[in-house]
Amino acid sequence: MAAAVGAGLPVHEPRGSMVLDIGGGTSEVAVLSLNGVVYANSARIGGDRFDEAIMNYVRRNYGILIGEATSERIKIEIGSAYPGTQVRELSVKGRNLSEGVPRSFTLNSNEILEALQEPLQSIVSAVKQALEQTPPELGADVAERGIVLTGGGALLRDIDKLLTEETGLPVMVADDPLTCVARGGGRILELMDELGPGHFGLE
Amino acid sequence: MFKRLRGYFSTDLSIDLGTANTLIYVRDKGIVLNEPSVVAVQDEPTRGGKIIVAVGTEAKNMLGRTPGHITAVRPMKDGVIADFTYTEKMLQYFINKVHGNRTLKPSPRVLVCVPFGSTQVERRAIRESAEGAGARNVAHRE
Repeated sequence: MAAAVGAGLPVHEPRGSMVLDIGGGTSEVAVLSLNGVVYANSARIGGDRFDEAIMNYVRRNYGILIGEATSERIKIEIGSAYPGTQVRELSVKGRNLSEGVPRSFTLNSNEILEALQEPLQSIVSAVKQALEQTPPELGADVAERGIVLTGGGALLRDIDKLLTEETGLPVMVADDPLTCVARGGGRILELMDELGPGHFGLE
Repeated sequence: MFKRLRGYFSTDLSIDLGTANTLIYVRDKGIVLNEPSVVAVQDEPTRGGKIIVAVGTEAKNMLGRTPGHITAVRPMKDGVIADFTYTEKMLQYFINKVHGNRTLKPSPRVLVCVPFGSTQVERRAIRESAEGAGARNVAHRE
């Protein structure tokens, strides 16, 4: 909800807005209308799971152990969610399991794409499930105006393309996706002073 | 009652307590803090416990690079609090950091964003963490 307000969606209107927030630990998909949540679902998949998938992939295919920080760097620099025209490469270092000595090796973006398939598919299926469960009138609004992505996961290259391909709906990444939730929360605090806490169904 | 008095000298905060990063938004000022949710703790047997050596970016650089007596932990896991004490300490540190007014201990009104699927137990943990960190009035929002 806060993410949607931060992304500047017209949540107070009687129209459906769909937002997908891919955070560090969880991904949440929600359909909102009239300042309320119509449907929401949370999957325990996020940036951490992407890092883990990369770590496992490198261990399986190269027999090399890398740390969390390295894995995160790989994701940020060459990770992508959809096959692109340009293949990027990155040289990283890790401990070779059979030799026990640190070694340097090169990864390319297609390999990372393959490594990320599993968590990405889970996110796609969460979105599809949400679309199935949305009441038809709101679903029509979503089809017209698309899905908005927020959270750090939205910064993964071409994740909007992947979702457009899978759902057939327009998908856009919010401005400054990392700070959407905090900014939205601030806006809600302001509105709460004007309209009273009941307006947002706050606890 | 005293908390309320202190509240007059504090500003409202909106906190995104995330697994990876914690962000704080202050009214009229925008995003004032954006740091990784990581705490580095050092064993202190003489004082019978643990002391915090670093929070945020500094602590993140320590992840996976710590000697035996220091541990760098991420107190949030899967969008919920995995380690209650450290989350509270981390929040306290962040809230103090964004508050310029130091003559009175800050006691702001706080809105914490929680994941949608979180249970009552998880929400309560976040509420208590925030209250322990000096918040006057804690609201939740998904």
